[in-house]
Amino acid sequence: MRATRFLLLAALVWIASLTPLAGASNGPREVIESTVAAVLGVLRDSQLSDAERHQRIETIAYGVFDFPTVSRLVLARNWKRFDEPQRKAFVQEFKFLLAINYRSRFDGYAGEEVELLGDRAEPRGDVTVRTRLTGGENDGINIDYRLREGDGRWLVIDVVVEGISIVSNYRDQFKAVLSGGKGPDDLLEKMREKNARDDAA
Amino acid sequence: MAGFKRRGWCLSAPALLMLALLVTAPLAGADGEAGSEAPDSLEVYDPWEGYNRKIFGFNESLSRNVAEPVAKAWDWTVPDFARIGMRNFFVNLAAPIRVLNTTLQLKPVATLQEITRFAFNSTFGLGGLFDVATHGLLLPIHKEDFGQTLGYWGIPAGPYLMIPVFGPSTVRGTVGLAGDVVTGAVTFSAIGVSVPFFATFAAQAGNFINSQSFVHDDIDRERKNSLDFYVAVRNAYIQYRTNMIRDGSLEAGPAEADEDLYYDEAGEASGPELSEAD
Repeated sequence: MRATRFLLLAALVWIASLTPLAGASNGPREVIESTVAAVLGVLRDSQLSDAERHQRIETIAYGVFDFPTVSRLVLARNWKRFDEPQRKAFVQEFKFLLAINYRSRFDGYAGEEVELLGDRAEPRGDVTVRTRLTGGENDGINIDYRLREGDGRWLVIDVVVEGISIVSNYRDQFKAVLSGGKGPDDLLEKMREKNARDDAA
Repeated sequence: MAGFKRRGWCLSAPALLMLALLVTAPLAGADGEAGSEAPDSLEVYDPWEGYNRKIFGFNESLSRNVAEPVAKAWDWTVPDFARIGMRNFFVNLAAPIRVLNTTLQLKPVATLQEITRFAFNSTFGLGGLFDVATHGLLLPIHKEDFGQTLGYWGIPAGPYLMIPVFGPSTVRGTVGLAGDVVTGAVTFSAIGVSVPFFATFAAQAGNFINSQSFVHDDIDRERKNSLDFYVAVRNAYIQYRTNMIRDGSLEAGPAEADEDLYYDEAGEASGPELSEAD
């Protein structure tokens, strides 16, 4: 009996010791660390033109956001009103919209550093990685990234700047566009117009 | 305001108001906003949306045509250190509001830190131009105002309210703003500071433009990134104020209610339903 218990305990300890190792390479914290490093690398490269810088930051965004999940979250209950092709179209347009939003946040970059403050396990498995900008005009601004694991990868599902969640903000906006008798196609049309305008800019 | 005059304080009523605004404005959020929201709900109660949208339109044209161009010019011509110094000066001047409201929220450590900050920044910080308390003593600022105090004590936010010129608020936030105005006025007249009306007005206008010079890019960016700017601002305002009432929630983590935002499978919890939805 004792032996069994000991073996069980030993097994648990062994598993516990393995888990952080397995996660260490690409845990939520590491994902944010490497993303921040990549973005700062682009911003500090003075050889890049505005267009090239935008292009590279968009590429970084495409690799770090979980677009299908974020799309469902921002549409919330309205997701049910979208049929399969409309959902595909929405994810596509929203992906671009979010990447534009993300890259636009670095246009005023003035040498700020990013400090990793730590992470916080959320009740149902997500992890929030907390960061803070230091230096420049935006000294002390808090930026939290919420990540979710899927297929063994941690991807960002929300960015929270000074307590303002991008998911919540877009959710309210989409809800407003979809109210008053407007349907999925109206929203998609509006997003296409906006994206075409931003693409030209 | 008339009450102050009768008691023989040294400032006229409009001058008191302007001085108070001058002291209050740095406390407001990044976009010059003030007010607060119920800590546990991100649902927006906006029964006056029609009126609010009209005022928002007016504020938008004022911002785009006047405030932002002037702030932009200020940003380009005045060096960063001077703009930051000016911002520090006005933030320091508003210390009495933070001292009062940390006290009213039973946060004695924060109150003590605010008093210490004010003492150090007013002296070693050359009248507040340098924020030596934050950078030298590592004493953080506690951005507490009367709107947050009301929220702290459980007063509901009431309807969302767009104030002409000032921007987004709520009914509670507007009361809070008035409270801060009075706090600033009373403190400065109590210690016998007398400033001519036009000087107060000019300083207040300067402070406003200087504050805007830090955010004009952000305002324009958010405008471009949004599909419905009115809704984007309303949502951002409510979230920002909720977060402030919770004091950043960085250690505590978001409230339980927030969790629903991240689970569409949660059904009912997944955001307010549209009337048109099936």
